[in-house]
Amino acid sequence: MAQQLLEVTDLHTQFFTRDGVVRAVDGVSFEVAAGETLGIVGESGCGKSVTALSLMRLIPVPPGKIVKGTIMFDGADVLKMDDDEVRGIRGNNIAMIFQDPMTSLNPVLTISRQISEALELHLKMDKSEARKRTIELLDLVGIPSAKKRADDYPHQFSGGMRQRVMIAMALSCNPKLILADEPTTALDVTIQAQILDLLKNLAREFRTAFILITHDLGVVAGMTQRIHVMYGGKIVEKADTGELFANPKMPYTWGLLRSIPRLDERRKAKLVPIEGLPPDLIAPPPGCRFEPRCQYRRDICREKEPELVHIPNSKPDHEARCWGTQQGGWLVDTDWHKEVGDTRIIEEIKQEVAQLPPEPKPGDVPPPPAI
Amino acid sequence: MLRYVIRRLLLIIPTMFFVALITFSLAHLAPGNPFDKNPNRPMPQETIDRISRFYGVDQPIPVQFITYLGNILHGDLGISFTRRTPVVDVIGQGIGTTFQLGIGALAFALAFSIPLGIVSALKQNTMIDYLSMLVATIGTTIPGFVLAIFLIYIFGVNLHLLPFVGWGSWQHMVMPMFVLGLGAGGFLTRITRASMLEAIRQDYVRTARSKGLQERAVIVGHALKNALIPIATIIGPATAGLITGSFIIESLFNVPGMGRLYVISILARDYPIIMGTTLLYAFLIMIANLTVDIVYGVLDPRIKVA
Amino acid sequence: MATAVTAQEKRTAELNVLARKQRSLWGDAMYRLFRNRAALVGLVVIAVAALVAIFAPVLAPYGPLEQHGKDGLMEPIWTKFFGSKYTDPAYLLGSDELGRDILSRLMYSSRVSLIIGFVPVSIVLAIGLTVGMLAGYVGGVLDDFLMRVTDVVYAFPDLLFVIIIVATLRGTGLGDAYDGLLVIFVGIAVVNWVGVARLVRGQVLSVKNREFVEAARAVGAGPGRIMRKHIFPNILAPVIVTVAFAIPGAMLTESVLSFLGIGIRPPTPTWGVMINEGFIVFSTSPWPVLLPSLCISIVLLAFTFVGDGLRDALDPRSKM
Repeated sequence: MAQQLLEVTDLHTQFFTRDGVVRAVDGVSFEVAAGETLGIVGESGCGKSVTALSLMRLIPVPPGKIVKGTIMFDGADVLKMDDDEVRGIRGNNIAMIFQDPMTSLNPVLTISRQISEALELHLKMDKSEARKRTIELLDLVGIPSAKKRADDYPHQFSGGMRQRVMIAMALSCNPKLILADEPTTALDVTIQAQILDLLKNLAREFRTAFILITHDLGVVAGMTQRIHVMYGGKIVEKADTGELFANPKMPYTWGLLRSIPRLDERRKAKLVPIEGLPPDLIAPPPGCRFEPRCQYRRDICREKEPELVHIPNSKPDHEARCWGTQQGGWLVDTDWHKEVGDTRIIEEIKQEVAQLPPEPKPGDVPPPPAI
Repeated sequence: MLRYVIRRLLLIIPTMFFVALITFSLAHLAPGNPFDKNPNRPMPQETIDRISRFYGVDQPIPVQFITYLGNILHGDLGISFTRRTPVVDVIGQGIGTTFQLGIGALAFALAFSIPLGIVSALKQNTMIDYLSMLVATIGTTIPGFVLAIFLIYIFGVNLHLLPFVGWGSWQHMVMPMFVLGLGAGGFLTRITRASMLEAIRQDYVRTARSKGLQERAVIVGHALKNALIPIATIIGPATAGLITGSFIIESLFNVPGMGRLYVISILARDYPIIMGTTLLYAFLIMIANLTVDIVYGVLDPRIKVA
Repeated sequence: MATAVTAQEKRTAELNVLARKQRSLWGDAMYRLFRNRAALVGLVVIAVAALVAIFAPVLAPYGPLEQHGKDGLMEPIWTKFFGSKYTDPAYLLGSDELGRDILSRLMYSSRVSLIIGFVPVSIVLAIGLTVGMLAGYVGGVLDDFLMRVTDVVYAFPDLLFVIIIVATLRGTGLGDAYDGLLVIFVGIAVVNWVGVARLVRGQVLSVKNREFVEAARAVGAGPGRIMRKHIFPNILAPVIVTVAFAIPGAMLTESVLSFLGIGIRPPTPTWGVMINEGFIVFSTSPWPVLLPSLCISIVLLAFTFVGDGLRDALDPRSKM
């Protein structure tokens, strides 16, 4: 195994709210090698963004807090650094691309100002050097007539162009690792493909390690070498990208795969949603976190939480957190394409959801005062 | 931009017309006239006629109104009933003092409110925050004249530290400026705190942090720069408010400004002065509002005033 | 990591989830309001003031106009400990220059203040809501009219506008009715209704094309029903907050007018009138002025705390 660039061990990030402690990230461990591209996939609220923010110590404190774990980056623990050391890493060695390019750029500063800022800070460039480099970067990410547009304000750019600016900003100091948090979610489908292409090419060109965070397995498919699936604040499956698509070993991943449209499938394979609601991270299910929504569940799933372990019939580094697919489990030989599990359980889950109190009607929502 | 300003300036004209119409109508609705000061000793009829001709009140009311409007265009606001001198001169004597008081109060308000609001937002829900919000709430809630009464009692009557009647030396200015500034400052503190809280929650502040900027650079360079927009836009109306709102403070501290003049004229039913002052006040307010919109366009690149 | 958990523990966890999700938005707002200590103190102060106002004839030791000529300018009893010779246990808070009991006058004053706080604000609310909803929902001529009127009224400094109205109408039948109370109602209503109307209009405009209104329209609800059942509940929060601040605003207006001598006619006691009357002798005997000043301050602060609490409770995002 190559020298790891990033090694996260047993990370716990929690938010202390009035309703209780939200265990947003609950014991996550993973590593990223230099130049490697890792995908983290999961539904919204599963803790993937919080994981990314934790890596840069950008969790708002309070209410958030990283309560446990280590984040070894380039041989040093980010969680043990003082504030100055962390700032030396942010934007310099680890950079981040955020989800919403409409709100992530400062509306009252010019594009060039926002990119040069990091260059002047970390690479000690003077104003004219930084400006020159900024224009090169804008050129690189495909902003037409970059020189002219550098002095424009964010609102003069379209969403896709703004995300290109964010990418240029992230690349500016040649970081070793870029965290891209849902970089294409806020964009039109046609633009999404362009941005993903750009990211892929730049990752190759700059030999930067990438962590691509998304809810969309389709996005990571062509982008990453390995994929981690997160559910309820935990990693529930780890595998090579090819292996994960060919031989998934966790019912949640099956559910995700069933719910994306695929062109290479037989026509009659229809999209199947995952029934039920994501777990409550204040009082998570005591056993397997996916158990309340799993149509393959057995009693043990409710009673004891499975460990993330190697799974038989799979590649050596393929791990999953599931009683059923583990050695001796009842799902070891299940073909997820054919056996959808116990349909009675699916009905039960649907009923449980129906019994939950209704969402508040829109008519009850007090709108924000205009004052 | 220029066209926008010109259009807004032109819009002031109809509004001023209605302001003049309303004040004029109210003044003529009101009972009494300048000649019935002493009902026991009525003036001789020819004196009344002479004075009526002098003031033009013998004309039909619509004619009077049109004459009044015409005179305004020449900078003539009529002649004071009680002082027998042109209203413009009377107002001119007081306006300097009122501006002096207003600007001093504004400077004081800005000096304490903006730092207090920023600190309050950055230290949200701490003792500092609660204390400065209490100061701000007291400033905005307790009426100036009540605050002034407490101050006069403490610093004037009991401690004999400050004079509380008249105008001239800096000691005279301390209490009126403080009282007037505290109200505006309390409001500005709340605005500053609110827009700062709003700004530091924005995504772009997180982006700024993710670049590795010092916390100071994040706050000043990114958050404050956005938060200043609503603050700057409130300064215009705040100034107008200080100048038009100083009448009670001026009366209380016997400051010879426009506000005290206004109150005296109201008590004496000196309608030419009431109308002239009201028009001036309305004009100041509209200019202040216009300034706000222009400042907004300059500060916020997203606003394109065309 | 893997731990066995009893069925009961799991049940408790489930119940917690249910309890959290069921709290309605208005319920949530009430919870936040009552958790706000300043707002709670404000509510208590207002309740006490209201009780004093209602039971003033029972509670007050003297009539508000009763003069005890020889007992003029008594000082509050606690000043005795600081060497004052002019105290009398019969006048707990002392007396004014005409020998009227200050405590009794303060108690009766709270009546006027509360009436001024609630009556004109109700008028303002009724007019503002009606005109604002119609202007926002129907638009057209009414909307244009509202916007022009607002421009003109906003050009006046609001307190001065009330003063002009009240001062010019003095001496007419309207101006003198109910010791000048009626004309103050009129002044406050005329100046303030546009603010509410404009706020309501803006809110209606922002709500009227939202999906749930479309949905109501799609199932055939008429404009009246849509306005009452769908739009009104959604614009209520900012209106409540505005009203909460309009009440102390109206009280402040009355006290300023009375202090200047053009508000409520003496001898009817209001805190503003008391300050006005006592001001002549302020430097020698400050109590007839200080005590009503204190009352105004406390009551206005109480209303502001409640208003702030309401705003925070109804819109947790706004921190103004």
